[in-house]
Amino acid sequence: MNSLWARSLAVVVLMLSVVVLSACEGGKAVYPTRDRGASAPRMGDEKRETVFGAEGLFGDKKKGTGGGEGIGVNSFLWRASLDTLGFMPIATADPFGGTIITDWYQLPEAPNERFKVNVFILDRALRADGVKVSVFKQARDAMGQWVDVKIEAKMAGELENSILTRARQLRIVSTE
Amino acid sequence: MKKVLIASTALVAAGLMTTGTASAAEKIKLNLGGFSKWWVVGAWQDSSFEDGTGVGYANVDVKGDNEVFFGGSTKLDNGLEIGVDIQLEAGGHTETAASNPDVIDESYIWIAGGFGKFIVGSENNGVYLLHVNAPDAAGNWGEGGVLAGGNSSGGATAIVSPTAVRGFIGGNGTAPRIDNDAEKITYVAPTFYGLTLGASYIPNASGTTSAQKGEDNSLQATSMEAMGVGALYANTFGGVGVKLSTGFIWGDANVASAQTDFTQFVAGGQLSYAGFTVGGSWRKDKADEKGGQYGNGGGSAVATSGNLLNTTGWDAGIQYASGPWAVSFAYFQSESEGNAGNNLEDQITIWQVSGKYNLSPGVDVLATAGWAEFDDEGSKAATGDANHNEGWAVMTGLSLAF
Repeated sequence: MNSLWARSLAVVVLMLSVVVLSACEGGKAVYPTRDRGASAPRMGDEKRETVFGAEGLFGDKKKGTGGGEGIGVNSFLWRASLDTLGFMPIATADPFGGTIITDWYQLPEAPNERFKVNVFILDRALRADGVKVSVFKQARDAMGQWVDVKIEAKMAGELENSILTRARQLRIVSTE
Repeated sequence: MKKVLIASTALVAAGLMTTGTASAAEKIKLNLGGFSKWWVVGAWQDSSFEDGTGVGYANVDVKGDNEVFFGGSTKLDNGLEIGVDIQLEAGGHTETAASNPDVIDESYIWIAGGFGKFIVGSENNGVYLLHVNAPDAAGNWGEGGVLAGGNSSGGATAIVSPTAVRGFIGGNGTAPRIDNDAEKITYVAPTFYGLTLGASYIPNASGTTSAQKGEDNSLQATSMEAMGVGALYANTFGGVGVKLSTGFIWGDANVASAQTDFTQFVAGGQLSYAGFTVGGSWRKDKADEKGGQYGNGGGSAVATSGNLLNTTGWDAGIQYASGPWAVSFAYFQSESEGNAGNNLEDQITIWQVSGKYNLSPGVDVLATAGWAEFDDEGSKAATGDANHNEGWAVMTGLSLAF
């Protein structure tokens, strides 16, 4: 084997693969590893099966999805939502489904009306449309019964903004 | 609400103590992984071999293969992903012996993006990473096998390989391990419609003397520059899985007394359908004759080392997997140029049946039974022949991946 030929071949294949493949849309950025004793390479999107689950003992080796370990939604949005609604009693909070549903809460200043808030976290990424808030309001009628009352449309949006602001603060603190 | 927002520093602190993942750059977080595999091995050597060497070998032994992985990665703000992987040998194998205390066998940094992945450090070469060979249900084949994992050119096996019998560098497998985990730079391209290309540049395929690379100690006789290119095609067509790989490695020994080139070709493939996997591979290691260091019939000098000989080998196997069960049969054979004085060849033949039962994710019960035969080029003596060995080995094992 001519050494010059071999050297050229290596360089040409290397360069071709870089130039051609980086320009193509059909490419997938997954890379092989080969476990000892394995009969074929394992690509990056094929998870190892381990006693601690696919992601191993301390979580995912290949991350970058923005999700928190162990919970199904973005951890910053999750904590920010809990934080923001911390003044209300929380009825259920499911970190895997990303839902926080509060109990009815009466402001001390206004005992004749009460609020309930549902928060849905929709994404593992920290993004502005990753959180959805619904607010419900009830007031006492003349008989003293609770009846639903229309709320201002912008209130849910303001709550979403508060959560996003808090999430941003948490995110900034975590990288410092 | 604003007050609530700002006042909740306790939660901020709690958040810091737990995970803090986001899409942008963050500190590298360590991940721990690894595997632990232990075998109880029964092996019966040829009595003629034991007479010839004057060494008696135990019929029962306990052998393990254990590694702990430390890894971590982060995504930079510019989109590049960068990570580290360190693999610690954790006992049960020869590399922890006092003579070879290099218990971190692989340690490298990688950088990945849309352009591909670069691996810098001690890791198997790019051709190895893409190589496909015969399937084995217990993962007990090739360089990782108790029966197949070594020969006189590297490693050791349950059935002892006589020192005179030469085989592939790095053990009885077709995976290209001329350089094993020597320090190198490897590039792997993104997978393009199932096709992956890889290339490695290895400044010194023998590694460094202070760190004899590899748990099977595939240290080369001479300092050597090497490079390799490989390709893998993996795709599925209507339930039929296809994996094809090929690669080429070229090396150059830069020592005055051993002016020689070295080439290595590998090719392999697997077809899988409905639980069945049929696979095989081929490898050819060839040393250039120009220096005459490594005899090949026409060469003038006699080979003085088990390394860098001309060896051709292949393996083939079939595996059936159904639910937690898998069973397989695999066969390996290699032929190596022996002494330069004749045109005879050393021959190594191994076959084995393996089974696996998956108890739960990451926990497998394993079993292997097989036969290995190591034949020197010279004819076998009737009694007391140290150059030929053959025998059965039967083993059961437990494997944990974590």
